[in-house]
Amino acid sequence: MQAYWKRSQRKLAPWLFLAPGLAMFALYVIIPIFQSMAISFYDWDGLGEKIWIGTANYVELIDDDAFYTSLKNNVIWLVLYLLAVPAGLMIAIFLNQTVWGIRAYKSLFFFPFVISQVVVGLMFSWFYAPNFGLFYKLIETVTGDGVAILADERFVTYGIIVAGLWPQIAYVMILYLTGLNNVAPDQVEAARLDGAKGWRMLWYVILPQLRPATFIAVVVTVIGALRSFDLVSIMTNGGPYGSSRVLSFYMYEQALSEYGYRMGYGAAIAVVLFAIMMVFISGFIWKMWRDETER
Amino acid sequence: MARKTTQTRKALTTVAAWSIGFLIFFPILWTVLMSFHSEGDAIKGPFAMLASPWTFESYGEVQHRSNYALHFWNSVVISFGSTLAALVIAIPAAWAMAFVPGRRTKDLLMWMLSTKMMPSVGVLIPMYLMFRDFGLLDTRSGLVAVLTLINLPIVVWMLYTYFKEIPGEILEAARMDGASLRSEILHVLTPMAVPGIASTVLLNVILAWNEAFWTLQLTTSDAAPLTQFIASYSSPEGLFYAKLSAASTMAIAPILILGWFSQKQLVRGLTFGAVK
Repeated sequence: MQAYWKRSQRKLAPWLFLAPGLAMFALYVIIPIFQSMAISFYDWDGLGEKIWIGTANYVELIDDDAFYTSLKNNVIWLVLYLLAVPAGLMIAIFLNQTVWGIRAYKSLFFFPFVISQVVVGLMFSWFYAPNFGLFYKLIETVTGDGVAILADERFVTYGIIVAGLWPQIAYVMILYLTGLNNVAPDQVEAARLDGAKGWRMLWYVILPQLRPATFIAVVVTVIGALRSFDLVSIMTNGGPYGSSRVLSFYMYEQALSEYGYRMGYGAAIAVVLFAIMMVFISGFIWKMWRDETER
Repeated sequence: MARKTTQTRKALTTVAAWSIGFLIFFPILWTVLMSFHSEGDAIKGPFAMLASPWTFESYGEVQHRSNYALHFWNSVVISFGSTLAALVIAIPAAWAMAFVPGRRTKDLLMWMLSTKMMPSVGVLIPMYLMFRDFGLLDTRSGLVAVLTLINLPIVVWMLYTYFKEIPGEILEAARMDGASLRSEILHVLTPMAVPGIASTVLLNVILAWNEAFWTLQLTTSDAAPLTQFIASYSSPEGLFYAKLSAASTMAIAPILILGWFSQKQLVRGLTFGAVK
């Protein structure tokens, strides 16, 4: 046994080393996904008897308006969040010139990132607060009529997204600023001699060199958009009238909040959420990753 | 002439840049300002609040109402504990991926990272049930375990990127000199990767410190970290903005200070080591 270990240690070690990590993933990802799938076929309050109801949860989901509202909000989140990538790029390019006090200046951009979403949500709740919030006052001054963003079905989702975009843009900005340090100056100079300027310079010379930064920026932005749960639950709790719910929040509301302990229905929502994620997001990221590594 | 225009231009860009910076920093500044005013003044509107007298009363009340030291300690234990646990699991795994790559290594890495995109709430039901059944609800060890799991992909990913930069020949040489696998990793690889490991630790401590979803769902009082401490000041009867700001300031101050002093490592961490 000992001799065998000595001989094949080098061959076995990589597998042994990967094993704990993979086991942890199984615990956190694979088992819960299958468990969710299994639960989604039952009517269950989490404590009592599980009742097999087949696909009834899914059938109910198809006709559930709240489900579609949440799904729509998820899409809005994802689309608007991705704006953080070009926005961060623009600020980074703008700042990548000599600005007085740039070192101290850059630190300002770290702060939003190191702050918890709880604090972000609460800060922005204050900005939006009717009658005394800064943002409310601003709108009141400009339009003559204040809008309680977080209590208005039309604006609530956008209001929460703005709160989320704040740290996200700062993050992307830092990524690109770091990436810009590495753009080869001789290539930029050569392109300039060839007459490249402005957009063409950006698109053909600078952006290709920023690809690693763009990859990370997109990945963290997508992750951020899917973490919408935290901000929604802190800022509005899904309201008013459920208009700011996202899928993850709706699932939580159905399964674990005081509105009902419908584990089965919640699990069905989770399964749909997984399915959507697998198809769209992993496909998209996968492609970017392939482009990135096979270049 | 030309010199003058560039000077003017530089001044203009500086002003514009600092305005953007101010805008980015403003919400934090405002929270701190608000924490030094009384509850009544905080809801008088922006200018009236700034004009009102400064006071420490919100801090006093927060001190009085909740146990900051306990929540602070919970946050420290949870964020450092989970980061260390993740390192112990991730260093060997990243070594295997970086120095003994197989055909599927990259796919495996990507798959790990993609699990980060899974909304945590999707696994909440099974995790909650697991926690309940094992009696881990509202315990520090339970939270350490969960945060280890959720940050593990990032730790593995970052360490992999850093390890990749270390030439395999150095490890090879150590092996030739008769170093065992253990000392190869512990005494050759790890010391060389210290800067990378430091960035990884820093980023993950910050991520864990700020983690709001699991900490809010799985703790109530005993093991509650600072996120729960802040959230406890946003009650359904209405928000107490001044106290909330005081609590927020107390909760974010340690991490802001940590971030300020370690910006360089943090930048590497933020970029996952992929952007230099």
